[in-house]
Amino acid sequence: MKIFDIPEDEIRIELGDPAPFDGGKRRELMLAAALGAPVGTRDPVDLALLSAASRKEDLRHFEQTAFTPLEPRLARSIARVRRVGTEEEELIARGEVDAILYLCRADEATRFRAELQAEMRMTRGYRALGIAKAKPEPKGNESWTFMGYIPIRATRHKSTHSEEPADFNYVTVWDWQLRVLHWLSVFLILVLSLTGLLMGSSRFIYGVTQGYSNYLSWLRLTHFVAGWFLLCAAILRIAGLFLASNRFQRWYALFPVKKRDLNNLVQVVQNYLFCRFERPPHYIGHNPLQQIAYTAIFGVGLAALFTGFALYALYAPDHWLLRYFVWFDDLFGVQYLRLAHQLIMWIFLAFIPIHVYLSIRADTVEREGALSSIVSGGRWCRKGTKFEDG
Amino acid sequence: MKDLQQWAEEDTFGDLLKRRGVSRREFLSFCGKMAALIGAGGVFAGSRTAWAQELAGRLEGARRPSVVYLQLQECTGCLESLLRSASTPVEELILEQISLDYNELLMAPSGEAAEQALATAQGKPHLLLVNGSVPLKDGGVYCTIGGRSARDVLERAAANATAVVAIGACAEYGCVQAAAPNPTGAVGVADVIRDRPVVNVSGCPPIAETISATLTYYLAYGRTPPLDGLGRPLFAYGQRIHDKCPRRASFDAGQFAERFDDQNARLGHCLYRLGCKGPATFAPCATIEWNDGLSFPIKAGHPCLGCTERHFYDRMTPFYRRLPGIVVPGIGVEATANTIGVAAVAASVAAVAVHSAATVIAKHRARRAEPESLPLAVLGDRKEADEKDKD
Ligand code: HEM
Ligand code: HEM
Ligand code: SF4
Ligand code: SF4
Repeated sequence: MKIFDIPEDEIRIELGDPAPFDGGKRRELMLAAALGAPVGTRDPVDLALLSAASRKEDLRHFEQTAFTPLEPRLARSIARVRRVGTEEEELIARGEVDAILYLCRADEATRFRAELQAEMRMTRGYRALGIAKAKPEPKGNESWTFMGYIPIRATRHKSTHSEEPADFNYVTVWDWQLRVLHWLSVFLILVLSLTGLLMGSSRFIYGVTQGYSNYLSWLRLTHFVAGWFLLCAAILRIAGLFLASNRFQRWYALFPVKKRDLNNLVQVVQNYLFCRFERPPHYIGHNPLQQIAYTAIFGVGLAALFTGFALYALYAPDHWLLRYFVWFDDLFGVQYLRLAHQLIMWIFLAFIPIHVYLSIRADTVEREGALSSIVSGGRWCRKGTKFEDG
Repeated sequence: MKDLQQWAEEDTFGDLLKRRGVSRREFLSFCGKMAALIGAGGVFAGSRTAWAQELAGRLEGARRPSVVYLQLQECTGCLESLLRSASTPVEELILEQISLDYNELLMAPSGEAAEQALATAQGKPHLLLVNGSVPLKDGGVYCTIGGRSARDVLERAAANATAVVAIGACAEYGCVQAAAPNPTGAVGVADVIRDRPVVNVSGCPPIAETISATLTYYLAYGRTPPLDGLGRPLFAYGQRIHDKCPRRASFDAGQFAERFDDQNARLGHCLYRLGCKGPATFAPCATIEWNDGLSFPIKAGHPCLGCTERHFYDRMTPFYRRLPGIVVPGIGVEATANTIGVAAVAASVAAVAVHSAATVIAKHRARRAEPESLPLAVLGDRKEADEKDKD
């Protein structure tokens, strides 16, 4: 029974929590609702009910022997079903709660309770599908029992957001090189932050050694070795910006340079600030806000390297490489360089919660699998979604 | 009659030494000391002994240089330091002789005679030594000598100079006077004399031996010693206090004095946490030490202030803290980087919490705001078109 001019795949049916009456079970109610549907139905609500019930019970155990379609004036349909292999039959009525209650000749109290409840719970556009059952009797003599109702809502969604995996494509976004670099850098930055913090804090130092050791030297050594590795990682990442074949990793994916991206930036920001409910334009790689955030964090990383190596250069101002960092020491003075170096660590540490949050958010709220993408390299993209950089 | 005390034009330095009764032994031990000092920065390859001998040979044959020693905007501390250094007779001689032609503090003539001496000396090729900064603001009125601004005095004296040596932090970049807000617009010699390299003997004041060693080198070789990027003689300023510091072992072990009177301070532990700027300071204090090798601040229990580094008044302060603080704009409260950092991380975590809460609320609202359900066939609704047909 098709009653809308809406393409089927744009209708989304949501079933609320079944509300059984008189101590009935949710599961029975759901089963009855499903069995009350005509055989071979194409109605989306019926399909949803059937699919929900079939998750609990094998519907092949039942067969329908008769069906009285819904009559507009009575606003109910009646199905006659029986369990396969048995003779016992049962009647199931579905329809407006009012109509079903009328059918059941429910007493005042039940009626009042059911109607009130249905009314209260039918917020957010839900409507109640009432269900009753009866033993078959000669015409008109059945005594119907009200089983309860199921909240149902049908809405239209322009782009189908089905949650079924079959509706997703797997797209590879990040090469393994980038992922290795990312996690290597994360590790190095954490090591650098930890050793840096310990280097600057005597409280930890005394707690560990009570003096007499080369504790601080080891900390420094670790810090500097990690610093050199971070330099290598940075060089590789920068080289990758220009050499990578993966276009999501090349330099133009970093900056929101295109006019389109700038426009989208506004929408993305609005979305994050809850000024806008519609989903902002989709990106496979980074959306413009991410582009800015990551470009900025690259900048901070470079600043960490620069200040770090400028401080390190004090050990050997004539060194073939470090000599190029020495001029940096004279720019603001070494003390302020130290200060900047330490502040940069805090920028990283403050960046991590937000960054991780947004990644997890992309996985759970937006269901775009960005978190897993930095591990596995790919992400799930909904079929039919239009990507700005796709 | 010829003044036997003086270094005459035709004399070599060796002649002077003989005449003044300086023994060969004294002379050679001086050369050994200088060789050790100048060689300390690793600037010269080869054995120290050979070097000392070469230095002795060259020094003996050195001719008397004409020297002009200016004192501009300064406190005279540098010259005091220099005068205290006369530890050996030879050093005494060198210092005595270089202040010969013109020096405000040490010269005998005064008034017109002094001006005359300066005019004569700077008319010929000479070595120019400068103490003190050059105030440029307001036409240089903040320091005038004989009615001329410091800049004018300096430029005239430099015109015929064969080498210019800026002695002390004032002459290098302005030192205390140039500290923010630099009311007199003080700059160093190198900012005025731009057409040739200026040797900067850094420090407030420099150790006397670095000054005399620089001059000895000039006497022996007729040119200035190799310099670092900031124009400082590498032999003295190519080494970091921190790398030669007697307390370095406790730095590496992580043993720090936290207060000037705590147990660790008494044990002679590293002063890093009391604000020692040794790790950022290039100076020979830890090797040459002060007052004839008696001691130097860190040895005596006081952190290095970094006085050989440029703008140390602005950049190495607070002297007794490891890191400068950050003045929070508006409130004027000074916070450490770590306070600010912890606050930033807390703010970021809080922002995440708030944003996720807001996400939940927004999702809820968005759901609320969703429209009524579409017509449901199971409830007897029909296509609007059908209903119209019926009517
Ligand atoms: C994300 C990267 C980095 C972080 C988070 C970090 C963090 C820190 C911290 C917290 C300190 C202690 C500052 C203090 O309390 O005085 C420090 C010191 C230092 N870092 Fe790093 N650092 C990083 C990268 C580097 C790199 C790449 C180098 C280069 C080799 C480096 C070299 C140094 C040096 C030489 C010091 C000692 C400064 C001193 O002696 O006071 N750092 N770092
Ligand atoms: C210091 C720590 C971190 C830094 C500096 C950092 C930096 C970055 C950068 C620059 C990117 C962009 C990829 C690229 O172009 O290279 C990125 C992506 C990503 N990072 Fe991190 N990251 C850090 C820590 C983490 C942590 C701890 C996690 C996970 C729990 C994480 C998860 C991700 C994810 C999921 C992406 C992909 C995001 C997307 O595709 O939109 N990151 N990170
Ligand atoms: S450098 Fe220091 S000691 Fe020398 S003149 Fe300037 S203020 Fe005085
Ligand atoms: S006292 Fe100063 S110079 Fe000496 S080891 Fe400690 S920090 Fe370095």
